[in-house]
Amino acid sequence: MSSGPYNYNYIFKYIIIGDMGVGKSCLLHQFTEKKFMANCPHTIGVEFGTRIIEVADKKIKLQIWDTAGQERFRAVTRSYYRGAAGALMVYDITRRSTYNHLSSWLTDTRNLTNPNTVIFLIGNKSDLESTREVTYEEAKQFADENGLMFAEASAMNGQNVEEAFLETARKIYQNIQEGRLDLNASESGVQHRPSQPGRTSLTSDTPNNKDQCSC
Amino acid sequence: MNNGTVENTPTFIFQIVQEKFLPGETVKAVLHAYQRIGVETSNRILALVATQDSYAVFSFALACDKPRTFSDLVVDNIFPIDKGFRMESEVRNTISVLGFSLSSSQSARKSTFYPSHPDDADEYTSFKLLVDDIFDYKVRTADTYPQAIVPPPFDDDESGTGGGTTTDESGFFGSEKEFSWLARYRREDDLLAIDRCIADGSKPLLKGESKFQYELKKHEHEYIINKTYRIYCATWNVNGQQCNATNLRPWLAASEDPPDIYAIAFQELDLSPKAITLSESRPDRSVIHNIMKSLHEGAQYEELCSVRLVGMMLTIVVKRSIRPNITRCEKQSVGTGALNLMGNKGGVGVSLTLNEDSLCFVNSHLAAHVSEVQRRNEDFNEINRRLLFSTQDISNHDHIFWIGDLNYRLNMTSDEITDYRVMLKFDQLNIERAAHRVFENYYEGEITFQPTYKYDPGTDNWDSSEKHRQPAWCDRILWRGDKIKQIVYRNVMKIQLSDHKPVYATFLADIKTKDEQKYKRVHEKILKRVDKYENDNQPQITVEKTDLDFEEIKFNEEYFRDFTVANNCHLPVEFSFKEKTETDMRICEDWISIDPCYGTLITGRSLSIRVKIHIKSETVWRVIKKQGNHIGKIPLDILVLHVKNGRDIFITVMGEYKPSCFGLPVETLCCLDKPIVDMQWSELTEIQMKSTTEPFKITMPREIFLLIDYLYRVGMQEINLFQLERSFKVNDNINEIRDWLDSCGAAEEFPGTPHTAAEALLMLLESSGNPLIHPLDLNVLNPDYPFELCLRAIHKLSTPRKNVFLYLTMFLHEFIEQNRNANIEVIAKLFGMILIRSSHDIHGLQRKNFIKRFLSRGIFNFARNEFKYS
Repeated sequence: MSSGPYNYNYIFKYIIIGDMGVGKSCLLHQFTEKKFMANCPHTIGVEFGTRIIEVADKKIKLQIWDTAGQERFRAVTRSYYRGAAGALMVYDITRRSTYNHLSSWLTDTRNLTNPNTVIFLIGNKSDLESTREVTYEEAKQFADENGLMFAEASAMNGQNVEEAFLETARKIYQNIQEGRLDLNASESGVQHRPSQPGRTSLTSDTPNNKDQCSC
Repeated sequence: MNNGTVENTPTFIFQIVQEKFLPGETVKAVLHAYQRIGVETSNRILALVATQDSYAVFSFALACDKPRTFSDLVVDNIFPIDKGFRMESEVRNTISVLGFSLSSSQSARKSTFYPSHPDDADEYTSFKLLVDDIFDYKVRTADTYPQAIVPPPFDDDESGTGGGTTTDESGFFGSEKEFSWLARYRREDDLLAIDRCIADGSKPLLKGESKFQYELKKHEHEYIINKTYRIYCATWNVNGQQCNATNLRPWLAASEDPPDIYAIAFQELDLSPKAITLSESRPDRSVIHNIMKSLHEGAQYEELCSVRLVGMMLTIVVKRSIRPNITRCEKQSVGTGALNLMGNKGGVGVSLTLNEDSLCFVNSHLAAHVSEVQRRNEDFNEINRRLLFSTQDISNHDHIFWIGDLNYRLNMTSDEITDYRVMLKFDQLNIERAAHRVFENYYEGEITFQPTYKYDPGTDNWDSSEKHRQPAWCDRILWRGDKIKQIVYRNVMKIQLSDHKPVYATFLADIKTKDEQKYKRVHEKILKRVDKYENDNQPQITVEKTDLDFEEIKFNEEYFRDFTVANNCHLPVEFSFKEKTETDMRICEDWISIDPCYGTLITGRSLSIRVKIHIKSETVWRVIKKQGNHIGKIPLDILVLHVKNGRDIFITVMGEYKPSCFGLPVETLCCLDKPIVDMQWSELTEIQMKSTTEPFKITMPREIFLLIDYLYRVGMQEINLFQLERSFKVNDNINEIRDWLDSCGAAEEFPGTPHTAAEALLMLLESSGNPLIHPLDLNVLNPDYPFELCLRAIHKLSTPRKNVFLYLTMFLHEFIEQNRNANIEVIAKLFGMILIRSSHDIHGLQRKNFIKRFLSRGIFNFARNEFKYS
């Protein structure tokens, strides 16, 4: 058997942050399970999910940390930001307060992650158009002013969820390609795994062992 | 002890194995064995189980070393005795069995086992005989023979239900129906790793890479196809003759179709003593050059590798187009000549991986002479034992081709040469193989050519020398592996250079090959499954509550709250409380303790964790800082309960620290206008902020005055007051004193004794965030520093501090004067530690001496003046 075809090439660490009740856990669940989790309890701690995705023919394993949004945990959750390659910052389009708090979340993110961490702003609950309190335009403007990626999404019907996670990964991958991320630094949030092709040619791969053919 | 002996008896094991099965499914035999998994070994119990019309061998993994009940056995593999069933032994010598393999049509790959008690041949032999009998019986009653090439199980079903059965059911035994009873025992293809052994922690959960490999292998039948390769084996003993000019084409280009792989073996390339003693290992390039010129012209070839030992050389040549499919190639040689060392006899071998199968080619030259049969058998065993490649020996290969001058002769005299078919009955190799003494499990094609030895060189005439050697089939080609079919097996009379005739054989071998497209599909599918598996197999822990409410917390009291953590998932869980940050390695505040703070829980177990709060003098000021100006309960700390490879749970420690004089700065205490018990933190913080600017309501804290006053009145003759060894037995009384002080209970009788009063005084002095002498001019600690200047330094302290210091030192001076037992050294040292708590590393002696200067002399005049100031 040839060895090691489980060759995802990269591991990207993500964090999901934002006020309590904006739907962080539901977004993660929708992304990993493709299901909406109704009656999702408040996250009291930090949960964890993984999924392997493909970007530019490279297999990337996303390790996603979903944090508690409650204010009292703020100090504790800060210790999870370190080494995130991507941050999904979530607010609830039907609750203006969650939008108003974004600048504080953004400050934390900027302070606690590296300058190349990709921040994606998600206006969740886009399915609840009738109770909207935050317009697309103002959020888009906020995102543009702060250099964030942005989309409105719905963890309930799945709209834009996949896109938000994948777009973030594409952007991180692009940063790698353009040499903006130092893969050796643990803060980069990216681990590179040299690929182990299932089939290698002897000439290039075989160590020059005396018991092995010198062909 | 008795119990143990019962459990170890074969009958006992038999019984518990039988309990795994339904009535009508009878255990016929059991065998203790183990498997090698990487460098580890894993015990197995094999059981031969019979129903009315079918048989199967079960392999059980053990939950513990000595299984006690049937539930300690977990089905690991099942080998239905069907047409593809094989149980093959690796017999290295006649006494012990080194290993054996099991396979059947339904298992894509054979599994190798090793008997647990190799020296006790009985258990193994009887098991093997029974299995063989059953197989023979099934074959006979099915009235047909197993084919040489068994189609591999191939399941094109996208759903990948696993354990696919053979599609070929042409009247042979082993139909799906016959074996339907096995379905009950096949492991569920469940993503959740529900396994007793995993749950109790005795077997690790497969993760990531290893899980992926496991799944990939399990689904092998979905993407592995057989691809047929043409293999050309050739052997020639050249008797020391130069053969680089000989036309080898009749020998090497004799097949109709171009072969994919050539294995070309020579013996006696060089008979010189020099070559023997130097163990010549450089391949003879001129011979290889001649080989390359003499190959089939229908394809382009390249030499893959050559290995030589003295006269023996093995050259593997492959079609250029299949070269990339060979991902591994190793060579090795073993001498079995004199001292079992010299290379004039022995073997050379090449091991390679072609697509998904491993192939081994061995060229051997075994001991000569008619009488040396035994020696030849031993040489064979010796080569098997010693010809080792990096990860496997010869027998571990999927396909083995063993070629060479095996030197087996005829047990007859040359006069009897009549018919080759008759002569073959006297062939030593045939006789030894029939007696299972050598080449066990190898096949050889029918010999339809005349003996290859011994001829007068240059002719086709039998040996006319004096020795008049009798003819023999010395040069042979054998193979091992079920997917090999021989096409031809011939000698080449035309090549007359040597006293041996060359021999060649061509084969078709079915090599397991990845169907790249199918593989890609399966790979994708498994990737997704492993993803899901990893998410679903996160260890989970449930906690009874995430808020621990301590309600009201007082200084120096002990409180605790218990909560339960339980493991309701199917995996063992390791938990621990996580350090706060990378720089703050504490798992909780200093005044909180957690017991236990880490542990392991196997499935179904729960555990009570106790969180304690005890706020002491050293930490109280931090609690006060945390409480700030909040009224009521606040989150005092957040504990992070970490589950290894899983999520983190935050446990909030809630409570309200009640105000007390302990821990408050003396300035604040001098600004209070009502009992502390009646105050809120909001008021206290406000006072605290103002205390730097506003005039003090009293000259020194009432609490300190009351304690010293009490001691002055009652304790001046007390023995052992103010000892370095602080007694904590008095704590209870101290809490009564705390309440007395905090409620301004001067009207009530003092609730303690001189000893508790002294301890309370010390605690009060040491519990404030800053020491009493603060800020501190470090010069004063210099013993040569003028005392006048020391007094000036005291003068510069805030009024409450200065007053407390003067009052205290005057009291202590008096105490030392009056009390015969008082030791100024001890008292100075004790108060030095408490009053001067500088973050600077100040020697204890300096602190002691500083205080001693005040205690040893009266400072009444200074004090009187100072009190006048304030």
